[in-house]
Amino acid sequence: MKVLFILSIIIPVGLLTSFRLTGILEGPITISETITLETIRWEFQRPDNATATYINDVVEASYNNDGLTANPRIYILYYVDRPYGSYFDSLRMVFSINSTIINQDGFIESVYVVLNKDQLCQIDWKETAFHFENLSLVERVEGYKSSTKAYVGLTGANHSDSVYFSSEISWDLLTPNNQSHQIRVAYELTYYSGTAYKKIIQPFELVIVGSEKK
Amino acid sequence: MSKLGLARRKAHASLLVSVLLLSGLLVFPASAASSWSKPRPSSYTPYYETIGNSKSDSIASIGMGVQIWDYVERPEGYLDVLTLRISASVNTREGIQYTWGSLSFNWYTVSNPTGITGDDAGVWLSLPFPVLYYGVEYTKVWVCSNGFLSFDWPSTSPTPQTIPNENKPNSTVAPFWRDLNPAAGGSITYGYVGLSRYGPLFVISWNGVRNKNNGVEQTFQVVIRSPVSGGYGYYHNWIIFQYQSITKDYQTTVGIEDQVGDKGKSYDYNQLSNRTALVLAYTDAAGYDTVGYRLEQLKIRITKSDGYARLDFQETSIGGYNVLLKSTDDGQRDFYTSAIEYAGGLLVAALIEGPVAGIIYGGLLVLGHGAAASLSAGLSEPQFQVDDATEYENEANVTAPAKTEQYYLTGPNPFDSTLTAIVEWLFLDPNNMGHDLTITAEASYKDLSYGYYYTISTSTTLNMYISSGDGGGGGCPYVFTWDGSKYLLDNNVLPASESSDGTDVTDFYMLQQMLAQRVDGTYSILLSEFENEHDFFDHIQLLAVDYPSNVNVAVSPYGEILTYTNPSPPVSVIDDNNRNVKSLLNSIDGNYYEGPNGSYITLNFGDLDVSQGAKLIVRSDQYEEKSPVCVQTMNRAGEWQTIATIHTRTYWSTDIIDMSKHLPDARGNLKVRLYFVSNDKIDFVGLDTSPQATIHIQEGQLVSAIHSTEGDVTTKLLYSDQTHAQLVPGQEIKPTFTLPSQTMEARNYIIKVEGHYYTITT
Repeated sequence: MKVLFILSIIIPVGLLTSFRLTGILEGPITISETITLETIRWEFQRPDNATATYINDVVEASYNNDGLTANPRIYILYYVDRPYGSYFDSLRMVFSINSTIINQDGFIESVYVVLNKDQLCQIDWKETAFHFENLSLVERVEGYKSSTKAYVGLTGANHSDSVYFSSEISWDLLTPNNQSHQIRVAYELTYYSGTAYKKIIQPFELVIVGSEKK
Repeated sequence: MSKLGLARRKAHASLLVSVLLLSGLLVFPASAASSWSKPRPSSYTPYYETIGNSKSDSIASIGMGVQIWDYVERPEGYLDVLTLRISASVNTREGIQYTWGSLSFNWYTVSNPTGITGDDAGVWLSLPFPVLYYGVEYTKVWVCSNGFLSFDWPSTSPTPQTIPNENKPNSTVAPFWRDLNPAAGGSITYGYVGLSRYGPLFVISWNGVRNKNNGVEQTFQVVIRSPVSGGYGYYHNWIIFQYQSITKDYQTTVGIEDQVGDKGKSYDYNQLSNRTALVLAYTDAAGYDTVGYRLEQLKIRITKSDGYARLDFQETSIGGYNVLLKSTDDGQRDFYTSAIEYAGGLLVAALIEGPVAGIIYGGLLVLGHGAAASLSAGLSEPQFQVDDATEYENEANVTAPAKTEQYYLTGPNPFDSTLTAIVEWLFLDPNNMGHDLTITAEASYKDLSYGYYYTISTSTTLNMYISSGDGGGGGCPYVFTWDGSKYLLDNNVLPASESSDGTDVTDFYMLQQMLAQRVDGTYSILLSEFENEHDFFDHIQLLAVDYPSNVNVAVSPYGEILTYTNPSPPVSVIDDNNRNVKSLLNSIDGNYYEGPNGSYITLNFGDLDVSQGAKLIVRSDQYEEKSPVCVQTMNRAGEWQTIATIHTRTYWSTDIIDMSKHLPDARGNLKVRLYFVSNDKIDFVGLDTSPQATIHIQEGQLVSAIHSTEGDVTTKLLYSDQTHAQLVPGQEIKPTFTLPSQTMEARNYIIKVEGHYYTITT
C-alpha cells in the first residue's frame, strides 16, 4: 500500500518531468532578449484609374545573427481601383518568411505576423493561399473594419531548425481614392538559440498615399 | 445538403404548385438573367454586372443576387481571380399579417388632382414617404379609377377580384373596388397631411365618383400612415379606409392583397356603413412561439465544376441582418447598410427588367436605403460558419443561423433575413480551361405549429469559357443583345444545323436577355462566331410579340408563338430505370434532370382539363453534344411516336409545344415521353391548359447589318434567297432593326434565323 502511494507520486512527476524535457509538454518560455529591427517603409501613390495596376515590388529584410537567418518579405502584387460606393479598392500582397537556425539544439519557437490598421480598411487573409512548413497555425484573426489589428500566429513543429510561411492578403480600402492609409506590419520570430529563447521583431510600414484627383 | 428534414406540407399542396409556378414566371421568361457566361479574359477585365434568381413556395420567398466585380489576370505563379459579391434574402411571407381594426371616422380633405378623369384609367403617384407593404418597400403607387391601388400592377380592371387571388393585379389595396366612372362626375384627389393624430399621412380620395352603371356617387378614401420613427424604427405602415358616402348596389371588393396574391385581408362590403373607418395594421404572426414560421438559417452554397479552381470567401466582407451576431460592436454598420440595401436592390434589379412596366417582387424583401440604414443600426460582427473550397473540394459555403434583430415591434422569431458575402473564384489553369459555378441561396424555416422544418432555395450559374480552340464545348454561332450599354451573350442559334448536313435550317428563339432601344430608336443584336465553326446566314428577322401581362409567351421549334399562364408540373416523372424524378422537374430552379443518350422519361399530367388548350413547356439545356430531345406521345398501338423535336441550346432556353392534337393520347391519358438522343438537361416541364390569348406580332425592319470585316451585309440577310452572309471564328455581324411601338402591356422578342454552319476541321 505504501509502495503504491509512493509510485502514485513518482510516476506522474516523472512523466511530467520527462515530457517537459522532451518538449512534449510545453511550459511557459522566458524570452531573454528581444531585438526590434529598423522599420522598412514602402509607399505607393493610390491609383485612380479604374483598372488593375500591377506593382510587383518586393519589400524585404534580412537578419543574420546568433546563428539565425530570417528573411521576412512582402510581395506587393497589384492594386485594383474600383468604383467607390458599391465596391472597394484592394491592394494584394503576399507575406512570407523563411528562417533557419544553425546552432546546436536551436529551433524556431513561433512566428507571428501582426498588422496594425486603421478602421477604414479591412485585412483579409486568403485561407486557400496559406503555405507553411514545420509550422502549425494556431491563430488567424481577420482585420475587420471595426478592428485595428489582424494577425496570424504559428508555432514551430518538432523543434525544427528551419521554417517557412507565406500567405496572400487583401488590403481593402473602404474610402474614396483621395484618402491615405497605412498599415504597420510586424514579423515576430521567437527562437531558441541553444541556450536561451530570443525574439526578433521586423517592422514594416506600408503607406498608400491618397490620389490628388477627387 | 441541409441536415434539416423536409416534412409534411399540410394543406398547401395546390397553392404551392401555383405559387411555385408563379414565382418562376417572375424571372422567366422575363429578361433578367439567372446565368452569366463570359470568355476567359487574358487581362484585367471589370464587369460590374448583376444576375439574380428567386423562388417562392407557399410560405417563403428567397432571392439571390450575384454581382460580378472583375477578373484579374495575375502574374505567373499566382492564380487568376474573379471576384463576386453574393447577397441572399429570404422571408417567410406567412409571418407578415395584417389585421382589421376600427378607428373613429375623421375625413381628410385633399385637393391635388390625380389627373384621372376617364373611365377605367389610372396613374402612378409618388409616395411622400417609404411604404412597407407585405415586406416590400415602395416609393410609388398606382391609383385606379375603379377604387383600388396597386403597388406593382398598373391595372385598370373594373371587375373586382376576390381576395386573395393570384390573378393580376396583385399588391392591391382596395378601399372600394367596383366599376366607377370619373368621366361621369366626381374627382379623384390626393394629398399629404402633415399633422394628424396618427402623424403624417398620405391620402387618396374618391370624391363623388359615380357608379358606371347607375350614376350614383361614391365618396371614400384610403389613408396610408407614415412609418413611425424612433423606438424600434421601421415597420409596416397602417392603411386606413374611410367611407363618407357609399352605396351597396354593386359587387365590391374591400381589402388588401400581397404581391403574389396568395394572401390578403378582405372585408365584407355589405358590412360597411357611411362615416366609418377601418384600419389595417401589421401584426407579426411569427411573434409567438407556437404559431407561424420561423427562419432557422440562411446559407450561400457554391459548387464548382472542376478541380482547377478554388473558392475563397472574404471573411471580412460577410454580413447580414437577422442572422446570429456575437457582440454589440457596430463597427461594420456601414457595410451592413450597403449589404442590406444591396440585397434588396439586387432583387429589384433582377426582376424589374421584365416586360411589365411595374415591379414584380414575388413577396421578396426589398428595402431602400432608409430602411437599410435603420436595419443596420447596432449590428455587429457576424458569426458565421465559413468553408472555403480548395481544388480538391467541390463546395464552399457560408451558413448563418437566423436571429431577430430589434427592428420590428414584436416577435422574437425572425421572418426575414439577409446574408451577403464576397467570394473569390480562383483559377489554377493557364487560361486554357472553362469553369462553371453554381451559386445557391438556401434557407430553412420551421413550422412552429407542428415543429416541421422546410427548405427553400434558388440558384444562379456562372461560366467562364475559352473563347477559341477546342475548350469551350457548346455550340455556335451565338446571339448577343444590346442592353443599353453593351452586348449581352444570350444563347447559341441554329442548333438544328448540327444534323442538317449543310442545308439551311430555320431557328426560332425567344431572346432571354434584355433588348434595349438605342438612342436612335433602333434595336441591335450581334451574331458572333468565337469557337470553331463556319456560319452561313441567309435571312434574319426580329419579331416583337406584344401580349397581355397576365400571360406569358413562348415560341415552338416550328415558329408557333403561344401563350401560357400557369403550366402544371407532371404528377409523376418516371425514368427508364423506373425512378420517380419529378422533384427535379417541377420548378424552374436550376435543379435539373440529366438525360443520357438513349434514355427517356415518361411524364404523367394526371387528369388536367385540356379542353381549352394543352401546351407543353420545356426548359432545357445541353451538354457538349448537340442533339435534340424528342417529344413523344403514345399511339393506338401503344408505341411512342415523336411529335416534336426540341433542339437544346448551350444555355437554358424554353420551348413550347402545342399538344392539343396529341393529348389526351389514344388511351385517354395525358402522358408525354421525352426521349434523349444525346446528353441533355431538363429543368422544368409543365402542361399549360389555358386558352390562347390574343397577342400582337410585329416584324422588325432590318435597317443594317454590319460585318466585322466585310462591312455592310444587309442585303444578304434581308431575304430567304440562299445568299448568305458568312462568319468564321473571330468575326461578327451586328444586325439593327426598327420596330413598331408596343401595343399591349408586355413585349418579348423572337429572332428567326435561317442558315447553317459546319465545324472547321484541320
